[in-house]
Amino acid sequence: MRVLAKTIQFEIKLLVRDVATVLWVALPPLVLLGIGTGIPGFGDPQADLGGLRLVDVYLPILLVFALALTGTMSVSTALATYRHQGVLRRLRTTPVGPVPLLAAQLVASLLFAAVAAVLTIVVAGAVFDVAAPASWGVSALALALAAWALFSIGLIIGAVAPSATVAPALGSLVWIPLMALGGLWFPREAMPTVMRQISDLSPTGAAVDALQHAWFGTGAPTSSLLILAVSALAFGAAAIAAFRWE
Amino acid sequence: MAVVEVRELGKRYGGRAVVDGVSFYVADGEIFGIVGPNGAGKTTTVECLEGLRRPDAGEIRVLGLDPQRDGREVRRLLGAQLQASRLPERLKVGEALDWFAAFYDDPADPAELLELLGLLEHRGVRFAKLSGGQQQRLSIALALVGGPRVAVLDELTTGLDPQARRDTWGLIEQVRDRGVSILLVTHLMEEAERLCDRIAVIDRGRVVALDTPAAIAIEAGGEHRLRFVPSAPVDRQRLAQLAGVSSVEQHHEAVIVAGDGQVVQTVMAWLTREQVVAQQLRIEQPDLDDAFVALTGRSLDEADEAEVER
Repeated sequence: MRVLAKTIQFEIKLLVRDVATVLWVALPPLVLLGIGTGIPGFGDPQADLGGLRLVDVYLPILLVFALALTGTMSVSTALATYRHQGVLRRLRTTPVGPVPLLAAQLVASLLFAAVAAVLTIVVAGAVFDVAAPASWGVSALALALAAWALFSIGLIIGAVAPSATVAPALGSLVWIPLMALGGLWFPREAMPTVMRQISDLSPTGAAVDALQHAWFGTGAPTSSLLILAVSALAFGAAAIAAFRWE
Repeated sequence: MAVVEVRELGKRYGGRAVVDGVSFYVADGEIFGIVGPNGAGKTTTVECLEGLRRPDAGEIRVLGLDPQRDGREVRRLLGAQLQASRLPERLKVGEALDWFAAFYDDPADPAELLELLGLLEHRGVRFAKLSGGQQQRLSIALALVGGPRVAVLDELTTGLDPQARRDTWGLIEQVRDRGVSILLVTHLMEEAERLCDRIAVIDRGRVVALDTPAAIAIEAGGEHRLRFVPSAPVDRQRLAQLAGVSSVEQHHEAVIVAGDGQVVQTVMAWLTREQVVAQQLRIEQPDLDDAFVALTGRSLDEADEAEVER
């Protein structure tokens, strides 16, 4: 535990020293502000969004956005870099091995995604008067499962990336379709039928759906949570299978 | 007492024997060298004793422990510096040492190690901003922070400029003087000659010689050479007929005589009798590069190139 605590401390320092991390943390709330102020009629309830405002619909999307960005870009690059630089090999020659480093990297990434999420929620509440979640518990469960699934995807990218520089490129190749399915460019309510069906089955689409229901109290998102749990387990197992030291 | 014992070690990759029956031991307090061209199996050998690879054959003991069965204990007692291993770019020198110190129950004092390795004034510098020599010194510090009995240093000075290389050699001797036995992997014969008490010369996965560097150089039949400018003309025919002389050459006014271990004595005694003074005298003893050629039939450079082509 002492080693893990110290390693988490250093991982957080390393992330703070990376300018990209700071940008990623700031990005989701900035996008929210952009949508809120840049699109006419953002504050009016819309019939085709089930009576919600555009800003309401985007809050869950941006929370998932923060997790997907961290997982596919930050976690993947960190793992590929540590493998490529021989840091994992070096740690294997110490009594503690590389597991504390991997755990610390996931914890630190989760912490940064959480900061981005909290900033987004604060901006949504303070500037656009978006309500607090109807069910905190279900919202937190959805976010936790989404983080598990999306960070696992990041670990898979980090494992298959042939070098540290390829990891972010691969990450964005995965991130763009994931966020399209999550509704970043046009909300799930506006998707054509086939895309909506694919979105329902994707980790990002399921996470956004579960969060929307939990947030605005529109019924228990049982099927979305189930899909999220299955993706978390499946991607988690795949990440372990794909892992390599060098 | 031996701190490391390796018996008949074997490791194959895809049917190719990379390490093929390697045996040696490292005595307590010794600097032992594993020497050979790139791809000879040196790194694979030490990776087996660091527990990074599982041997296919043979036996390894580090302070009486098996790196596979007692891995955790071995990793506590053995400090490793890996070939081409880096640290997180934005991690600072002092942080790296504090971090690694946390891995051990009874670590060395990080500040003292930084002082020993001349890194004290760089403790706030990020790894990526260090020079190659400073990065290597940090990797030595990290290999020592657990207070190991044995340190394995793999290609420590590769890529360093000659001055940084010489500085690093001095440090390794200081580390040994602190009671740490050292297993040094290198493809530089000069480094092995300068530092090692004993060496194993490895070629194509096999030990081709194992002794002190000087004994290997001489036993491999390398030639002693002396080069001088005679104060008066000498008869090269008569010089060539002296016992132990194998060749005599003339380069402008200089004479170069090659022969066995007695050749210097023999030639000097003969010159004295002839009342000729040997001016600008230079004596070359056989070195490990010559020995490698004698042992394997090719030069170290050729062996390195053959490895690149394979």
